[in-house]
Formats: sequence, C-alpha cells, structure tokens
Amino acid sequence: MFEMWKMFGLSLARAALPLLPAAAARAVKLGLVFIDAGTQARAELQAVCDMLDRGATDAEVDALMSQHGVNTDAIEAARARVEVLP
Amino acid sequence: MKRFTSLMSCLAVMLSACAVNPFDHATTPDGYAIAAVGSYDAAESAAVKAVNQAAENAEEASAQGAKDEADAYKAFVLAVSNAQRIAGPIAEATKQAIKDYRAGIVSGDALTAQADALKSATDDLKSATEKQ
Repeated sequence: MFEMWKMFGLSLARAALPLLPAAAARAVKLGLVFIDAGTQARAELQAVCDMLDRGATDAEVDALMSQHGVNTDAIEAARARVEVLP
Repeated sequence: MKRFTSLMSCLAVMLSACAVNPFDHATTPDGYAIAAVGSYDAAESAAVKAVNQAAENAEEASAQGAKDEADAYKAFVLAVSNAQRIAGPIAEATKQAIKDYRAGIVSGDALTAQADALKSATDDLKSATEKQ
C-alpha cells in the first residue's frame, strides 16, 4: 500500500515539475533522486543481508563493489563539472 | 525553497532510517566486514545519483545567474566527493582484508578493526549525501 502511494506521489511530483519555478523544480528533481537512491540502496542492502544469511562465497566477496571503479569515476566527473563553474 | 530541500533531506533520512541493516545478519568477523563493504557499496551508489543531479542543478543555476544556489549544489558535490575519496580506498582495503582473513593471513580482530574504519567512513559519506 505504501509503495502504491509512494509511486503516486512521485508521479505527481514529476508531473508538477514544469509548473514550478526553476529553483524549486531543481530542488524537487534532487529530492526525487534521493528517494530513488534510497529505494535502490535498500534493495542492495537486502541483497547483502541475504548473502550473509546463506554464507557469502569467495566469488560473492569478489563481486561486491563491482561498480566501485565506475562509481568513483562518476563522482569524480561530477566534481570536475562543478569545479569549473564560476 | 530551502524549506523544501530540508523536507526532502528529512525524507531521505527517513528512508535510510527504515533501511535494512546488514550488520544484524553478521555473526563472524568476515560477515561483519562484508556487511561494512556492502553498506559502503550501497551508500556509494546512492551518492553517484545524488551528485550527478546536484552537478546538473549547479550548472543550470549558474547559467541562470543564481550564484548562491549554484554554490550550495557545488558545495554538496564537493563534500560528497571528499567523503568518497576517503571511504573508497578503505573499502578496497577491507575487501582485500576479507580475502586475507579467509586465507588465514589476517586475524579476526584486525579484520573487525578494518571494518569499523570503513563503517565510520561510510557514515561520513552518508552524512555528506544527506546534508543537502
């Protein structure tokens, strides 16, 4: 039920974006990203819990943080984008 | 606008507060360290999404001459990036320490200490990400 209301709220917020002043729209966009990221993080953490419950194999340990390099590059790229701003 | 971003931050904190906790599922030193690495991984994934949107917001605000707003987003990106620069190498070292522990090279206490360092660095990363 909570998921249904959440999806409805998110759709409403996305639909309202063009109606908002620019600064408010940017804040809403970031807020929506936070909510998406929170949902994804919970799913990732649940996968880790499941892994621990069944006993993580060496291969699973190897696979942990498989996106680390990609994520590091992405964060550095975002940093480079804002560092050149006046 | 500031009130709205605070509200969104509260929402993000609320969502993370009801998140599952891998540390509750760890019964061994390597399990504890895996929970720490997994928590870092999830925090890093969330951070990527947040900084990408914040960088886009900073560019837009800057182009529109909203310097204070652009500076706020810029400070957020830099804070998250700084925290990630510290936590990333600790996460890599912890991952290696798990393998070494399993190979009998590293003690359980040493692995736990390494995992604690990562847990602390991950908290800093999460804190930086939630501070917008």
